[in-house]
Amino acid sequence: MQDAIDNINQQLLQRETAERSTAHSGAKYLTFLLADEDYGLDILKVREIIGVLDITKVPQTSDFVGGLINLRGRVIPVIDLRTRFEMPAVPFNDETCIIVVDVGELIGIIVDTVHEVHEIPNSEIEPPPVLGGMVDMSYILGMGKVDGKVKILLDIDKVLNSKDLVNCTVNESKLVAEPV
Amino acid sequence: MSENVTDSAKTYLSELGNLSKTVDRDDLPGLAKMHELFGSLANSEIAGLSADGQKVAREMVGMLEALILGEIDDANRAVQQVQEAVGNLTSAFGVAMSGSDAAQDADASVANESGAIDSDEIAQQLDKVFEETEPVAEFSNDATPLSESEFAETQSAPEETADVMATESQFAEMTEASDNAEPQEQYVSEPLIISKDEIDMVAGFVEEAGEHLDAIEAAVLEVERSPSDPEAIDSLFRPFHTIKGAAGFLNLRDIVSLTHEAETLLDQARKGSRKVTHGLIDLVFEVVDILKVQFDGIRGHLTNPTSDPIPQPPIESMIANLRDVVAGRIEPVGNEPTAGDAIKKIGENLVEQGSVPQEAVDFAVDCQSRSTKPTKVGEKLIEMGVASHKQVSQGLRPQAMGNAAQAKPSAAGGDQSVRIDTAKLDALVDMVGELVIAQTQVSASPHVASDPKLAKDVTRSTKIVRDVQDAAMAMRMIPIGPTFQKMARLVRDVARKVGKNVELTISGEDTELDKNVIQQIGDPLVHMVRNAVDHGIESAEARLAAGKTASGNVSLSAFHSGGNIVIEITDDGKGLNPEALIRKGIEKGIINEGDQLTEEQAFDLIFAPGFSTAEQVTGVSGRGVGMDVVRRNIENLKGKCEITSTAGKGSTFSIRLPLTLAIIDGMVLRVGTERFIIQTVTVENALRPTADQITSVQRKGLVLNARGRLIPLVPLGPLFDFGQEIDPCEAIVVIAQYEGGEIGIVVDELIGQQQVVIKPLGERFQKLRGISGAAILGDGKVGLILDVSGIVAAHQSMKPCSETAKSGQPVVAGSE
Repeated sequence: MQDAIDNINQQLLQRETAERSTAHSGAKYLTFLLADEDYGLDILKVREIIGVLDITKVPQTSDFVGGLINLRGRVIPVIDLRTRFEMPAVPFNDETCIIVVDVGELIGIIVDTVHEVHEIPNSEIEPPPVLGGMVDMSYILGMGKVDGKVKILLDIDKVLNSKDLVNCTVNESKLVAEPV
Repeated sequence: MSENVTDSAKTYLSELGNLSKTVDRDDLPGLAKMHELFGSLANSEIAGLSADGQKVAREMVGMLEALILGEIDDANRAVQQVQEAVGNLTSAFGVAMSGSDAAQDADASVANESGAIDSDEIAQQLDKVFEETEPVAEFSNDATPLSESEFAETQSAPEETADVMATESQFAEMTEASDNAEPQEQYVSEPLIISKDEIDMVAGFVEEAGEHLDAIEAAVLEVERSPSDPEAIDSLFRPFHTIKGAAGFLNLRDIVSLTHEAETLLDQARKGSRKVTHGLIDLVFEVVDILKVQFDGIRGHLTNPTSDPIPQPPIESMIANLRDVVAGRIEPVGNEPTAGDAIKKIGENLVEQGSVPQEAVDFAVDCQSRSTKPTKVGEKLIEMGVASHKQVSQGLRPQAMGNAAQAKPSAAGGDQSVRIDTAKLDALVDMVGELVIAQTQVSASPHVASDPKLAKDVTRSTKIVRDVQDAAMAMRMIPIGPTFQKMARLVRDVARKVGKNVELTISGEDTELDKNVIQQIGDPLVHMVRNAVDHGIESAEARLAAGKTASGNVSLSAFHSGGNIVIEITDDGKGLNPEALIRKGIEKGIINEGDQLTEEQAFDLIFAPGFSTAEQVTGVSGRGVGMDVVRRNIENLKGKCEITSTAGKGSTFSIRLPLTLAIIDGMVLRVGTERFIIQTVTVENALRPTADQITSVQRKGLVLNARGRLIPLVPLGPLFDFGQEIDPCEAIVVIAQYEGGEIGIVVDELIGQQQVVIKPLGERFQKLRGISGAAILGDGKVGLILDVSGIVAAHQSMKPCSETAKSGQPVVAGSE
């Protein structure tokens, strides 16, 4: 497992140069597993992959906010992607990873495990299917086909776009604002 | 005509001939060489030239000088004239030497040109060129040393035609060159407009100029103290001069004019032709104030650029005023330009003009001192690509002026410093913090313990890492001295306004604080110092009646105390009267009749909003705004303010501040599995209460009776949803202060004390209540920093709102 992570991190380091040389016919996606479903996200958004380390819980936050981690001196929030997608939570294990993404600021997302980096040409990406009201499709860029398998390509900016991670249901802001 | 003299003239001409073929307006080394050669030719010792020829050569020297200094608008034409003059001179020389074979040795192409020299024609041509550049003509004809301001003027109006320059913008030359009673032009202020390209430069200038103004204020007070000390006046001169130079470079004419007039005035004082009076000092302060207003205006314009002209303070009238003062009493003798200022090194001139950064000059000077080959600093700077020829020539000009007079070393040198973006320093501090943690982990490794050699090495590197940490922290620190100096002016102004005699004593001005703290402590200090002078110190009669000296004393001091910085403002005035304060508090409805207040609590009333102790509201202070703001500002700085006072003897206000805002002294608390940090400064004490100290209200709220004070308890676990409510008697209650009173925070355990670097949580966590940030704990894990006021707010809004809020109510009243 660690080897796979090291390998991908190595690729991430080298991508700067590689990315510029490739014509923009398609993009590279980091694929990962979440509750037995295959997902992918644009590698340009990925900063690095780390194993799960100590996460400090933060009060008054939404369920999917895992807490805060120390990324080499920087304090960054982590999001539990399973909870975010209302999937059943599982205990962390050796395979569990934090993908650090850069969406204007650094945020970690907790996933079951990372697979590898795939180059998916645009021709192999289908628009998001219509699955009815049960599934929120706005997070999905498209469906990428790799070796006959389908990867759900996430628009990570949209997944993490709720600027506010603080859940105000506990502290009604109007109550707080009033001088009691 | 001796043979070798003719030879040398021939050599000069031949060299000139060669140079004139390649020279152009930007070839400053070439022009300089030609300048030198013409200078030699013009020298009457060389008999090779006729009187006419010498005259032409002299004209050429002037012309080239103007060219090099970039003063001739039509430089191309001037170069052409120089080239023609070289040709003509060579031909004339050839004719004079005719018959001899010398002519053939001269440069063939030039020598073969026919015709005798017509010096009148050349002179006419030259006059034509000079006419178009009026000020230069004055300069070269009268051989008047150019003043710096003249330089600034010519600089500032390169596009303007000669007649415009000759009128209003020439006031500087007029005052400097014609130092007699000639009628002066009324100075007309110009609307100030800063172009987009200049914004960065002007912003830098304004920032630096602010520092210079501070220096001026400090120096003025020094001059007032010892009026006969020429060094004090000199140190007053320098910042004015620097502002003038930089303003000239940026085309800020009004500032140039104003500083110039102020300099002229100070020059009189320096030369002893004017006595240093209070009036003079006030006048200088007024100039400083006007400049401050002007800089503020510019600063405002920079942050919010519009095309409208920047509103200006009454510069015109100030300049007129200064001129009247200067002209009114001055003897029209010996008003020489200020040579002492003019003779500076090229590098200093360039730095002053803002052309070149100080470091570059230092480097160039360093190269010069090490190099065996004599290199000029200016040349080196050009080579380094940091200065253009033009800039160097401009830098040379004051040097050239000064060389006529006796050169004396400039006292300038100042602090060697580099400006760094604080974000970079913060990043460095962050990384060093990480390094310290990594180092701690290494030293805790079992391998280290089992290997004595390794252990020794690790210990050594740990020490180095600690030193690096200290050094990184120290970079943000600046001395408080300049802030104290500003107070000196304030004390003087306020004391004069209220008709008291007050002296300010300053100590510990070398004490260093974080730059952010220094920036934010200014306002609170102003309030407190003003209060001390206005309210604290009695009138002279009252003082004498009380057996004190007629003049009061306010002292400002700064010192280290247990990891904090303490700033004390002490006055030897009448002190605070607790009874009067309590009476006033009841009057203002801040406290209730019958409330029992300790002396300390009575003093604290001063910080209540809307409280004013002065019997009469004066123009200086006493409007009741101030001290509450002071307390809030100090609390924002994570500091505390305490008052001690003895009636009749005076009061001391001490401000206790952390060394830096980035690091706090914290206590680490445990709640369930999570750890929190609370600022030590807010913690009064921590205790394990006994059952009889706890009172429960409606079985929901808990109150702790701590030596008669009723303190509401906030169990942190349930508040943050991190654990079950625990019996306070088996827990620790941390009593913490906030602006409205005290609360007892119930936690599982008190782990210990630690200094932590504050990490902001970013906007995604902005709405968090009770948490102000995060920090990395010793083991590398993140801990949350508690915000006491936020905890109180969160606690009050906890469900069920109504009941908890009610039980929280008496808390505030109870604490009073």
